[in-house]
Amino acid sequence: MIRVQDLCKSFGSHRAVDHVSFEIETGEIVGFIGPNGAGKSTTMRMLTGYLASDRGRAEVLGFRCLAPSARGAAPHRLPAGVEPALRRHARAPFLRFVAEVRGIPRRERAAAVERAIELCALQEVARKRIRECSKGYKQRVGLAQAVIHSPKVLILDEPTEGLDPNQRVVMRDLIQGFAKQGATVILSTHILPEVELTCPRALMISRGRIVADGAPKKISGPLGTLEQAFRQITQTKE
Amino acid sequence: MGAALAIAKREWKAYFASPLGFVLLILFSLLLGLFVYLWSPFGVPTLFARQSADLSGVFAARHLPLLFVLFGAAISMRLWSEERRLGTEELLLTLPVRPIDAVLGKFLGAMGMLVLCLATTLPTVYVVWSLCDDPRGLEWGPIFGGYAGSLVLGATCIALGQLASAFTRDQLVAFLVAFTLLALWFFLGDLATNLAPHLPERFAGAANEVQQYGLTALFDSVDRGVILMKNLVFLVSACALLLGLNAAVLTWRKAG
Repeated sequence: MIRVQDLCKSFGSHRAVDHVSFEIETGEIVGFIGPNGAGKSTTMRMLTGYLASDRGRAEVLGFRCLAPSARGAAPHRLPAGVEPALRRHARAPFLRFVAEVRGIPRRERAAAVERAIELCALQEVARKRIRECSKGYKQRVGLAQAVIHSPKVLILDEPTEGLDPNQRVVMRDLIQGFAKQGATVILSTHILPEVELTCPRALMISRGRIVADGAPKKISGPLGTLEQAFRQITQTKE
Repeated sequence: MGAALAIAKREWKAYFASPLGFVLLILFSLLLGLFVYLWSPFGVPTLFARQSADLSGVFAARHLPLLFVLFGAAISMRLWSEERRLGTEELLLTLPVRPIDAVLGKFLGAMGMLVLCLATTLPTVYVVWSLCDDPRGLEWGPIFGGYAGSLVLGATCIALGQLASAFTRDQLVAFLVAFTLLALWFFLGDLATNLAPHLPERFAGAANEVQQYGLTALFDSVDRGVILMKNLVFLVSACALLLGLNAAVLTWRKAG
């Protein structure tokens, strides 16, 4: 489903991703964890085809990355000021734009937009501008645009960032809902208990290298909690 | 192609999501109105002083090229820089869109804005038409030729500005770079003429050659309602080259 082999990426002399390899099977939810600057976002950006790798190979659904297909990966990170936004008069023009660019046929477009609105519980803000929405809604608009074409793979870069505990639960339920419908999910986060709750498998990355891979329980193993393991593994590496 | 059209629509609407689109339209029509009806900085007689019912005030060799220097830069400055400043570039480029489609979509959206600007001259067409007392009516050929030539010239200016916009996240920087390059192109003729006597013999010929490709020289014949094949080929290939470079910049940045 997602196959990463020997992936490398440098920015100048800084090696952001250093020979990373992993595989993710259909229907898995994988938590991608690691300190800031460890290479999580860079790896995910190579998976979505936003960045090219220096060497190595990344495949999503058999598609080589940098040639993302309409049915392939969907990035999630929604930046602060997406314009034109969900506008007052029309319903969710931003989502309709994404649906159109994703090549959803005209006849199915409205239904796809409504389904995404419903899935991500955006009914209340469907006529608002995105910049007027609260952080929780913005993150959900980001998720809605990523799932509008019912992708088989979701790549979510910190989907719960900046959300309050209630919103986090909603987001977590949404993500688990997609996984139940057979989507493969890879998500990054700094909130380790969340990984223990949501992800049967965690990938830990530090200084561009994979340093742990397995069930959160297994990683924390003798060290107690995932947080303790995280601190021990990533700090000794520094 | 569908994706390019969707992007074009979004870009076109974006001009009117902020005051930018309205400001561009108002300023463009005010300046051109000034040149055509009241006073021309290049000494072209005003519409009423000329006593002939044609649009040569609109399509005078230097009026539209001068406005394209300013408005070509202003229409295109936000195309990529705003996207990068807001971080929406990642969203756009991870959609199933080839770089060239994204470039074309943005270009077409900006062209929509340019068409609207040019459409503000339609009242002048009406004025000229109502003043025309020639029993054979207006000469439509030069008018259509004038609009077609203006579109091609404006398109190339926008393609240049769009490329400049791809290099920065600051709209003002994009505007200034595009404006300066377009201004240099505008003055290319004068520049070459003035430099030619000071150049060694073998470069003097080249200077004369270059002079023909200045922004104003290219528009010279449009003034008379004639589109020269040579100029058309030059402008269309320059425009295609600039758009191709723009797509290459996007691809190249992914590897960065």
